[in-house]
Amino acid sequence: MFARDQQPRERAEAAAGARPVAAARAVLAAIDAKVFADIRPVPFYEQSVLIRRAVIRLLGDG
Amino acid sequence: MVEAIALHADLGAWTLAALAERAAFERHAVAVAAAIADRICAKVEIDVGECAGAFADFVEAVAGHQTGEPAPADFIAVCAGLVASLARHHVARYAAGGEAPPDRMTGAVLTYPDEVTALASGAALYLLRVRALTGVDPSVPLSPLIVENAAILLRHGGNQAAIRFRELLQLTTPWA
Repeated sequence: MFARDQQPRERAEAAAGARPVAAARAVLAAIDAKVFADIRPVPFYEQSVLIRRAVIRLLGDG
Repeated sequence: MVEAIALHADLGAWTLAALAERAAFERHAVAVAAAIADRICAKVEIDVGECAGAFADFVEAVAGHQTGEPAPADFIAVCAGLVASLARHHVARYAAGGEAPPDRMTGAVLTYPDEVTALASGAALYLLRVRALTGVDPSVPLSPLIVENAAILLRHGGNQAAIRFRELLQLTTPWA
């Protein structure tokens, strides 16, 4: 009974958390589509490598 | 933790919208923190709870960003939002090894870990996207003094300093 009563509240909390995520995703996707429409897609695994190289270079390479 | 994130979603292309997914947001922060740790020969630990807090702040900031036709200024605002959200949380903890006194860059990172992680995260997002667009790297290697100064200004300036991340890190802008 208790668990069943909790479900709507949990669903409501999840929905409330999902709304800003969906809105943020839409904003970011729109920027990507408009500003960076022509760039080469980068795989996820390559993105991490590029980030690490870029940060190490930015901080002066040692 | 790093390994768990590294195993997540290696398939498919990275997009800006991926940052609205918590795992991809964490992965970005982890990659940046790992790079900073590499740079100063330190160990790093990521606080997943703090990273979740930064993610929530970032999502809230971006979701509330009203824009008509998306423009480069919106992208810059997103990068600044990333800087601001990470600077408010203790996402990465760095520990320098060895007994030698830290050099100045190491000292800057150890003194301002949240701010350096935040600035580097926003800068990495900005410069990878700009470089992919223009073919030109908008960054120059920074001196420890510049990094330390940027971190101090971010610590005391909050969002107002975050929006100036390009100026603070001497990043060039391809848009008029």
